Amino acid sequence: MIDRSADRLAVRPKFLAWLALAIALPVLVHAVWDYVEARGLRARVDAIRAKGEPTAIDQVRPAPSLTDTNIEAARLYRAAAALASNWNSNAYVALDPPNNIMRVAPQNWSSAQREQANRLVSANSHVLDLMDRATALEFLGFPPGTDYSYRFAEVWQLEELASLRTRVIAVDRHDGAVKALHAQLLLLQSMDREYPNSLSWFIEVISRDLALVVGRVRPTDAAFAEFEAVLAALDRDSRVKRVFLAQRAEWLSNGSLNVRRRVFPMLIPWAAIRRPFDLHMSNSVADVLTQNLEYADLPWPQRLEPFRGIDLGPLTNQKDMRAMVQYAAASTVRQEARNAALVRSARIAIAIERSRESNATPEIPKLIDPYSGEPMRVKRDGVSYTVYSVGPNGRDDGGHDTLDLTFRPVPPANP
Amino acid sequence: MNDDERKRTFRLYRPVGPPPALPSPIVQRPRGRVVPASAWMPAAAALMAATAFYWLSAHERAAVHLNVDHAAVARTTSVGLVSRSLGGGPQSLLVAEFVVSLDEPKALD
Repeated sequence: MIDRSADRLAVRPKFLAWLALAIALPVLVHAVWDYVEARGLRARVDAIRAKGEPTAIDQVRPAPSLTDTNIEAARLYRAAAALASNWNSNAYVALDPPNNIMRVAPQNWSSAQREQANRLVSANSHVLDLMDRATALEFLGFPPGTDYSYRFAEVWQLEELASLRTRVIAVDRHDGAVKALHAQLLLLQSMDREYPNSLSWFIEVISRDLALVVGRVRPTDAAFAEFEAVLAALDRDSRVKRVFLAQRAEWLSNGSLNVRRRVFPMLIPWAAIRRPFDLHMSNSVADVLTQNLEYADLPWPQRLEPFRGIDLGPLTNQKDMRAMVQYAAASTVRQEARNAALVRSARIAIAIERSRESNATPEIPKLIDPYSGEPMRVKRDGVSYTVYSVGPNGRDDGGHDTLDLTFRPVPPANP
Repeated sequence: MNDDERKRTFRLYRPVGPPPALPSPIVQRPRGRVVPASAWMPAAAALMAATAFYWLSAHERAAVHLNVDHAAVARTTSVGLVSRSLGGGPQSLLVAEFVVSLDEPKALD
């Protein structure tokens, strides 16, 4: 009897050679792709560095050399923010309007809401004292190593509390509201220095609070000058570019070379297998971010145009990283246009109020409406005035409350 | 049993030589069944080229890493320090990485 298995073994080497080649060729293609993408990433990073732009987060905002005063301000902010993190725990504030005292205009508060607001401010007076001490000092940022939440999340709650205090005082026409608003503005300026991306969250609040203080308390010219100084510092056209530079550096630092989480990481070398694809995506995103930086250099309102068609629906619907980046960029640009419109409206209102105090002809600063590229509009009537931007629809709706972005002093309360 | 009978009996169990045709397939080279070494060369060359490209890719990525993550060196030092202070070992390393990540400034701007 002849053993045929010997024949099969004798045939196999040729098959194995072809099989080895069939395996080796995809590996070679993978390796070449890996190299091409890695080389592309390096070329992009080198090009960014050649332009003097940041490729790492620590280049975006180098750690400042802090004086004792700066460190004391940071310490006070940290303490106030830590205490403010739980500021409404004992007096639950419903989040949904119309019950939330943070959402309802204070002149429309019910007696119960007013009582609740007074109680919250009184209960947190120690927090506000710390904040007032902090805002009186020069703040250049938190020292390196400061926990993330102090840098952002808890300071946000501090701002809510500061806003509530301003409203509580202003609605009763107390002069202390001027000082409270100034502290609130300084807090905003500190946050802008520490974390500019968060600014958009608070501009609407500060605009409303300023309208209340202007209408109810009538600050002095010196106080208006202090308000104007802070608002002028916040009214920077470079913020969008700075945010985009930070986004790209953050992407390069954290997104470009890090391993994406996959299933069974211990069994399958996903990092190596997926690397060319991940590098390809990194390069694509870096290109998108670089393109956005060019858009950020455009003047208003052209700066808005490239992002006009981007749907800002729920972020969870976005699956592609480039789409997510564009979502974030469009949010930034649109919100920054809104911020600029609101800040500029407030600055013009301050100019009008100052001229009213001195009975002079108002010298309205020629501030550009980010939505139209034309000067901001002022509409006067028999009672008061409205400073407004044409808003996202680009159409002059005559200072409409919702279609335009408006600043109108809150009318004085009836005696 | 005499000697002749014994010889006949032993002859039945005597080892015999291989059949004359058997040595041929063993000694002679079977035609068409041996793969020349050159058949493996494409696969070997492809794997060597792939290795070279992977090495080049690692070189490029290392160059990128130096420019995009300045904190990596400090972070590695901190993780090592915290890990050692926790007693060393994989669990300590995991905890140390977590602690250092919490302590790291998360400046986006």
